[in-house]
Amino acid sequence: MSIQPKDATILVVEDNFQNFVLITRLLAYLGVSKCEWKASGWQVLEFAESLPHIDLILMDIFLPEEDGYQVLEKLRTHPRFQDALIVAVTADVSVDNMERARSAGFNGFIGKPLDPDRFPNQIRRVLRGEEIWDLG
Amino acid sequence: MGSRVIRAQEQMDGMLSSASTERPQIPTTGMRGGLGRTLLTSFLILAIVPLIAVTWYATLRERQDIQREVITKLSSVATMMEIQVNQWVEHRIASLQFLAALPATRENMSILVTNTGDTSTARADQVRHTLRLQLQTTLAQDPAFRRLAVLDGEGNVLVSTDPQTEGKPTEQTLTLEPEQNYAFQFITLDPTANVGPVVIVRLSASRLSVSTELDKVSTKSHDEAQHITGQDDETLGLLAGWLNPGNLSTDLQTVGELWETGEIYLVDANGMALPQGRAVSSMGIQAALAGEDREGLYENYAGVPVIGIYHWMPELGLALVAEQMQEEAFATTNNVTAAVVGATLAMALFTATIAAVVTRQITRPIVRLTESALSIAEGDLEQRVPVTSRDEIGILAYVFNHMATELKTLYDNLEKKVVQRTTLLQRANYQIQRRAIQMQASLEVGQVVTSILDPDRLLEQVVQVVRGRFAYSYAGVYTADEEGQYLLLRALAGEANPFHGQRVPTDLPGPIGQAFREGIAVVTSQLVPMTVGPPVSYTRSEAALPLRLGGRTLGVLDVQTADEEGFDEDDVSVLQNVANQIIITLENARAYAVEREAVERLQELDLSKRRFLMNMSHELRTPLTNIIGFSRLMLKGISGPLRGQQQNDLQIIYQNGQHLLGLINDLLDISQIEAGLMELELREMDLADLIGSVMATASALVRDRDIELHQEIAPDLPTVRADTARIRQVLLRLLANAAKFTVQGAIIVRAWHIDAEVMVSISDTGVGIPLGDRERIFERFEQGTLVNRRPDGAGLGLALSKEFVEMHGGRIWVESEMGKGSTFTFSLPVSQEAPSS
Repeated sequence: MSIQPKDATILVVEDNFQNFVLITRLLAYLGVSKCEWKASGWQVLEFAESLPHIDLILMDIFLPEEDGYQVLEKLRTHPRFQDALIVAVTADVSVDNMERARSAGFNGFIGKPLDPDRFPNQIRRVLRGEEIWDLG
Repeated sequence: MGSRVIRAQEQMDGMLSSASTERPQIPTTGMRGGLGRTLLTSFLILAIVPLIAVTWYATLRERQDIQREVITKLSSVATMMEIQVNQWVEHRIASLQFLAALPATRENMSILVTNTGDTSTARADQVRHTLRLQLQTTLAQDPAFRRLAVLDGEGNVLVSTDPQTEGKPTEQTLTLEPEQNYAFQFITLDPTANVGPVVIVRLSASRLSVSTELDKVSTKSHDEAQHITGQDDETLGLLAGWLNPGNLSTDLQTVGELWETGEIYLVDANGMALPQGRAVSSMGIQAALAGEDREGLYENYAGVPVIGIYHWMPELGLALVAEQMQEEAFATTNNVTAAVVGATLAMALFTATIAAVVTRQITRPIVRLTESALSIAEGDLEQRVPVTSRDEIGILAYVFNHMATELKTLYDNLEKKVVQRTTLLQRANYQIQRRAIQMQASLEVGQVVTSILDPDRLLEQVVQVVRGRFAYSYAGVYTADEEGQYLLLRALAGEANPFHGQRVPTDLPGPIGQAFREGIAVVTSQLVPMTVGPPVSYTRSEAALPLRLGGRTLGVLDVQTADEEGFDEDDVSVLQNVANQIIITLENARAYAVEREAVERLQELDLSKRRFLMNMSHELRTPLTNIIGFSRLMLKGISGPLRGQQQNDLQIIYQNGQHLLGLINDLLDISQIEAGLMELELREMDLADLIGSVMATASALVRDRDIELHQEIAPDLPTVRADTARIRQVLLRLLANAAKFTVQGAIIVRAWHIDAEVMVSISDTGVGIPLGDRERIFERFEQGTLVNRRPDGAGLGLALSKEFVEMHGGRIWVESEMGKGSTFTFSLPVSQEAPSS
């Protein structure tokens, strides 16, 4: 499956608003116009019904209340997100963490800090259906 | 060990039981025993053997005498018999001679002879008749004759008493030698035969010659015979007389006395015997017919053993045999033998009786001794033998009694000793069992104390074991508080104690207080009322053992029992041992609790440090990444076009942001290392790949500069076990360092391996490092003196690299020549595992 950036709807789960803005700006640079933002896992589930169809979720691991893994587990049981691409975006960069994310069921891994030079291209490839596992 | 003892015991039991069930077979009667039999046999042999010898000798002698006597008698009888037979024959010869010498006979004879051709004449007949009458007269007179005849010179019968034979030759040749006047032919003794003993006499014309021998034999007819035979020598014929042997036998029977079984008989050359009248044969007869004159013992013709003599009479051609049956002859000897045998039997009986009496005399005391010995063997040590005689047996009995007494004394002593030993053994056994139980209990206590870490549960278990295993009525444990002011009854087993869980002051009287205060084991049987808690209702003695550790008493083990002397020294020592185990374990448990608390605290601290660092990293980096991110965003023109000066200013913001991020990252790494939280993610990795990817990144460092970037990697580089991210950091830092201090030239990355190490070096053609700085540059917050002019680094890079390499078990060092360049080299140990695909 391949999704054109201009058609894609991307949900960013990120507790830092400025980070979200940065991501949105980079995604906009890529051509993505529909971006949703939730600051925590429970917010995603709470407002799942109000969300449009989501093609890709970029999820921070270091979240308040629940960490990314717990949120992932819940999302995977939710009918709306069962098939969604979920990519971990985290500053906790290590091979172990990447392996953990892979076995937990993430569809990709992008290390922080985001490299503005590479990030748009990574998202483009993800939307094209490639798997990205990058420690940054 | 135990099993072996038991087996030996069983064997002994087996032996004892077999000894008691199988009574030894000891003969108890003298006559049946060996000694009695031997004695009796000896007596009998002594009595009978000489008697038999004497009897045998006497009988032998007697038989010899009898034999001699019988033979003598037989000889005399035989001699008489011989004379008789001769006389009988001579008597007949004389009869015939007399007849021949009669003138009438001669006359008639000569008539017959001269008128031989004229035989049928009346004269001849008359003569013949006359002669016949003469012959018949003689026959009638002498019954010994069977038949008489007158023969001519050729042997023809002229006249006979049996007229039928006249004119015929005789059955047997009857001739006389010229010098003979008479002859006797004993052809056979067979009374039925026609031929038989024949007497022939010459009939002379002139006179008859008379032999001198005949004169001697027959004196009666001498005169007449001489008278008749003195005239003419011419032989007219022969006068023959056939004798009747039966006549002789009647004569024979009259000869001499020959006892009842005596027998005398004649045997002719054909074996025909008289008076038996038939042919007989025996050893004696054969010998006699062979011409022997002998005597001896043999079996006669009827097979009866006889004593006999035999004698050959050549003139008559007859054998004379005289025999007597041995049975009769030796009858007297048999009597003697019978008498002797009787005497022997009587002697034997007598001897046997004597022997029996003597044997009994000898053996009865021995048997009694034997019986007593048997009784003693069966355990009746009171047995004594009455001493009745003063002989050797009496002495033996006396000695035996002495021995029995000694035995009894010994046995009694032995029994006493056995009883003593048994008591000792039982006591020892009891002790051993008790020890075993105590050991077991100690062991169980040991197991309990090592398996349970919770002090209260542990104490509950321990008091249960102590009470149960040692069979005490009550067991309790007290522990003191920190100040030693109070004792707390922590656990108890047995009767309920109202003090359970309560504090009692340590200065209480009684064993518990004393044991605690003085730190010694206190045992008492006199129970002081109200020590610590009421002694349980049936308590008779109590032991209080201090729980001591390192010179301090920390509690008391209290044990009570219904036994008055419930605690001996060993019990106390074992209980003290248990008490020691308890306190050590309590201390262990306490120490463990303290330790665990400390560990938990440390872990908590660790966690909080980790959390702090993570938070710091997050909190510091998040705004920084935003600064970097947004400035980069602007620089890329995403937010709109920038003017010339804006572009430069933004570039400075961006670069400083990057620098700051690097510093923060380094600081965080250092902090992690310092806090011991840095953990390597060791993986099997290929350095060649890593170097390749790092070179691509590093190419940006030398972009637009006159520096060449090379790599020289040995083809057979083994894999290493390393944290890829950290080694990547090291490589990048060294490359960045090289790029920073190199204006022009080349940077070369080399990789090779020596033995168990892989070497990686980064060489540059930079300014080089002064000798004095070569060690210092690896220390934190230090930079080479030369680089002070370009302070773009906090000086953490090389220090971190050193840390990382050393955490991998490798080394890092620098070689440098001022103005020519430097070479940083680090090593990593080759992976011990086979490289995985």
